Amino acid sequence: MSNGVSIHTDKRATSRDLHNTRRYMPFVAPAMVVMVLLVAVPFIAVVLLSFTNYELAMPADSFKWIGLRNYDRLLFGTNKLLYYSLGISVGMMVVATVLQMLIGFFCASLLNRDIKFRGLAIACLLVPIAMTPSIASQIWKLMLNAEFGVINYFLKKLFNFSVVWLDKDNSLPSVLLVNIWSMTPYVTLTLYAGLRSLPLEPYESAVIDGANGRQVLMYVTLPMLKPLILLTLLFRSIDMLKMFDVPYVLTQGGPGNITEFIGLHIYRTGFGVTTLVGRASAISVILIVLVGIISLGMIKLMSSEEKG
Amino acid sequence: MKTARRNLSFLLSLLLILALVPSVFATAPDISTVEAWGAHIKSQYEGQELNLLVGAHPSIDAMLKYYKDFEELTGVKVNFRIITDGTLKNTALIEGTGKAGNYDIFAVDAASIPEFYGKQIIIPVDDYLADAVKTPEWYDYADLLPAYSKGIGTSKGVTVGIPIAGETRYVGYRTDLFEKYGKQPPKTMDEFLELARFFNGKEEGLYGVSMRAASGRQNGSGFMSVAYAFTDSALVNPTTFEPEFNSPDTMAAVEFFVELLKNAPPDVTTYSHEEALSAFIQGKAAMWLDATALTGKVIDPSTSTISEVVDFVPTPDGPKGQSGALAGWNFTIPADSKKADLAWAFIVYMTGKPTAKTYVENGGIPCRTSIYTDEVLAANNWTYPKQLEALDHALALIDRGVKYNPDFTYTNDIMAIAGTYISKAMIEELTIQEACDQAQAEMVEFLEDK
Amino acid sequence: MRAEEIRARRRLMASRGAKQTFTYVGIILMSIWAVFPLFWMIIISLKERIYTYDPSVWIFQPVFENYVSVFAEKNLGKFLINSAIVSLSTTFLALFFGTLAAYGFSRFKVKRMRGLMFFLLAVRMIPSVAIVIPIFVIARFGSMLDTRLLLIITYMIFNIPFTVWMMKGFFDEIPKELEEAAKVDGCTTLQTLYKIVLPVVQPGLIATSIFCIISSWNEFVYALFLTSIKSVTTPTIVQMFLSIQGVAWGEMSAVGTVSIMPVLLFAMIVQKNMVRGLSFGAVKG
Repeated sequence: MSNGVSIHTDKRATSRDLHNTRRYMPFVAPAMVVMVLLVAVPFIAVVLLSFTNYELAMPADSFKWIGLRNYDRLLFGTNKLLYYSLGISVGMMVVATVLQMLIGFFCASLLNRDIKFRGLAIACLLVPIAMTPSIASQIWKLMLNAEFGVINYFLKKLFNFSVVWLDKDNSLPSVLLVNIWSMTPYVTLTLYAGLRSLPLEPYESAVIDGANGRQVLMYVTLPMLKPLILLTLLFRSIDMLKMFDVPYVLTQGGPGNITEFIGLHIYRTGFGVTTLVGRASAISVILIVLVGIISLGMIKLMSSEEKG
Repeated sequence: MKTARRNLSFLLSLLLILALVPSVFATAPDISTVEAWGAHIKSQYEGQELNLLVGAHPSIDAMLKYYKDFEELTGVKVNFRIITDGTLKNTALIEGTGKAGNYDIFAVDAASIPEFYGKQIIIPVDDYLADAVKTPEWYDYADLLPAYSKGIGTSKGVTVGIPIAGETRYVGYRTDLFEKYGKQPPKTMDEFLELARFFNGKEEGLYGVSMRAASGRQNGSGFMSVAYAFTDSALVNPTTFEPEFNSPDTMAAVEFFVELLKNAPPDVTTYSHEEALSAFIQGKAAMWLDATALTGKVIDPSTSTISEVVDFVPTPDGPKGQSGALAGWNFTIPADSKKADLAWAFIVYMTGKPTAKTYVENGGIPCRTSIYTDEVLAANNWTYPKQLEALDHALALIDRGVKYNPDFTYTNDIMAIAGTYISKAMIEELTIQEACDQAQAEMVEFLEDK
Repeated sequence: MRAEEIRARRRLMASRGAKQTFTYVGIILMSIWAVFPLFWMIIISLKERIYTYDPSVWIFQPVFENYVSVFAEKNLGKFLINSAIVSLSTTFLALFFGTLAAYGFSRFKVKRMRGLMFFLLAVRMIPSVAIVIPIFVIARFGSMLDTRLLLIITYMIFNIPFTVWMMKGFFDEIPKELEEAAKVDGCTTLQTLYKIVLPVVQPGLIATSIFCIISSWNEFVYALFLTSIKSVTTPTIVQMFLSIQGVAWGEMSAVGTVSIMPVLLFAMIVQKNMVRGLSFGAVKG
């Protein structure tokens, strides 16, 4: 079986020809060379910078190697923010991804039903995808304002209560809310596309066997969608770990450091609050290692699914 | 050896000057009027371009209305890159890192001047000011309020910036509410706190006070506007620049700020100056303590719902006596600019006395004595005397021997650390004592690594 | 017996009706939820400033001064042109390199393919704030700062991996027989790709390109730090409106509205292809 998520090679393709490096190099090499050129130098620079005391625009004579000092300060210093920051980032990744998948799947199955104006509904879903994140987050900030936001205006009108969206208790859920708004449409559309493309035969035989709706979902739909779900999960979780725009605009990481996710932590260390580029680079290295572990794990999981 | 070299270079420069003096006199251009000066500049620089990196600010908006006059006068093309003040500093610092010479003028805020000068990203302009050809007499540097020209445009006694917006901070209050409940505007910090408590929740949807307090620099900046009433070392010791954040005085200031903002809208810990101002001009807060530069928005009926019922008093006094903020923005010349002389010419034109009225009429924040004392302009803006009064309080702080923004490279970083921990105290994640101790520890650790 | 049958049918129809209602209510709620911020942004762009903070004002005389101002005073046209050139060029390049590589990965037994695919994914994950400074310094030495070319090249960092991952899925779906037939006719592999395979994966190309265009069109961090005067793109214009005196909501919303329109229109036009493309590449059909 071959499908969109297969990264093991196709078993049918065993002719000698296919192993021949010379045959595939013209295809694969250009992109790889471009990528290595684009990324290698900045990446090596980040790793090297993480061992220095570099600050933005610092005079050359005070620039020096400080070995593992940055990592030491981050992991064992007074400021324990790194742990908290990693914690909420991973937590948010799990919660947001799960919610996005659930809501996305639900909306996708609604779309997949026999309805009119489907095109219009899909067009609506394109809005969060197309809106410029930096502007969209500003609009959300205005809408969520406790005193003169439109959301509290509706809540007051309809249910006679209001919520302080960006205070210490609600700012994390608010970030989650905006994130779900902006990211779920990707999941919905992908899964809808997946649902549309499923073959009909398994459903027919399931109906003949007298399966109920829940059983069809559990034993027919989900297994067939599994590869796609895993791929979506992988991309969504990585994007969540990188999340920057939404908390940057909504809360600037506050109140306190409650919403200082890891991307924002890098920004605030290197540019926003202090200008410790060296230390921010060390956080980046830690983040890249972490993301690497997570995605390696997921890719392993995916390919074992395929083989199994 | 060193002395010998110095002597030699002294001799050489003397020779150079002697050689130049006649030629200057020989070709001394007529720059006595703006027009003549413009022709002189045009003869040197016509067809060149000038790039500015500036913040989104009313003073810049004002300049956008008349910079074309400079273009016409001199045949120089001027490009503005306008970004928000929060990212301006980072962008300028990155430019400073790259030394690419992309810009010829940076707008730099008062708190960042020591850092920019300390890191040698911007150049001193004393020589330009002293040069009668580069700075014509009509420019009138002495007319700039000394509180601004000396207070925010210098570092280590060197002039590095020309103020384009000077500000102190004062308390705006709602005269309708104060009359209704028979209250007097605050003179002391104690009264200020008491009034905030009194008005908080007094009416439907009304809070006592509104200030900037978003975690980080915003909070630190809000804190500083009250702190000097309680302490000389709001961020660091004013002479040694050592952090003293858990000293009793500073802790009292932190405690006051936290107590005060318990009477602010509940999400005040996410408020930048923008939200703080909005809450006030939308009638959600009885009082507001922030920059005089924002006055325009408060008294403009097209943006403010309280423009008719507002008045201002200086920053209230505290145990340490009078105090007041000194902040604002400067035009500076980046060290990597290849057109420093032309940049200076632009600064001279835009901030000079001849254009000062145009500038203010278009909404620019005044920095000149002649503007504040101009009867016509003062008649149009009844807050001028109030602003000057607030400025007196700011000068009292200088008399105390304290510079509002400590004159050392890491003011911004220390302010951000302070603001982060105070924000934690506000949401009761930490007690005042814990917040101050931890902030102190992190400040010490931060400076240790330098 | 008969009565029972009728009752059962009625019940079935009623439940179908209820289900139908439920579906439509769900779809409508979902659509409103997705569109509301855009709707609100448009409202604000048309409101007078003093009403920005008053959500109870629904009926008002729309003003267009915000739109006039962003084009006349803030030079939005220049920003839009820059954005368009950058987005289209980087998408074209990413499609070119990415599609070739995806085809290679799909058709040949590439050595260490898993590692290479993983490398691409890892690159996509690097936060841009982490590498923007080295890029700035390198670009400075190459005298490339503030050029559209620099942005075009930089955006390939996230566009190429995306294209490879996405297009490989599409290629995997095409039966080999198609190409073998072409080879019998004497086409080279490149000719086969160009003449036979690409037309078949056209929906995939369209879907991939729209996603590349959107992410380039909206990119913020690189655009902010790597451009200064000449090649500034639309997302960074937001910066102009976050003034010290407050956000110029009206003008910002006007920019947001103008800037989403071309992308949204394009996405809507190719909507069918996008969705078909997604399914084609994602799940075995």
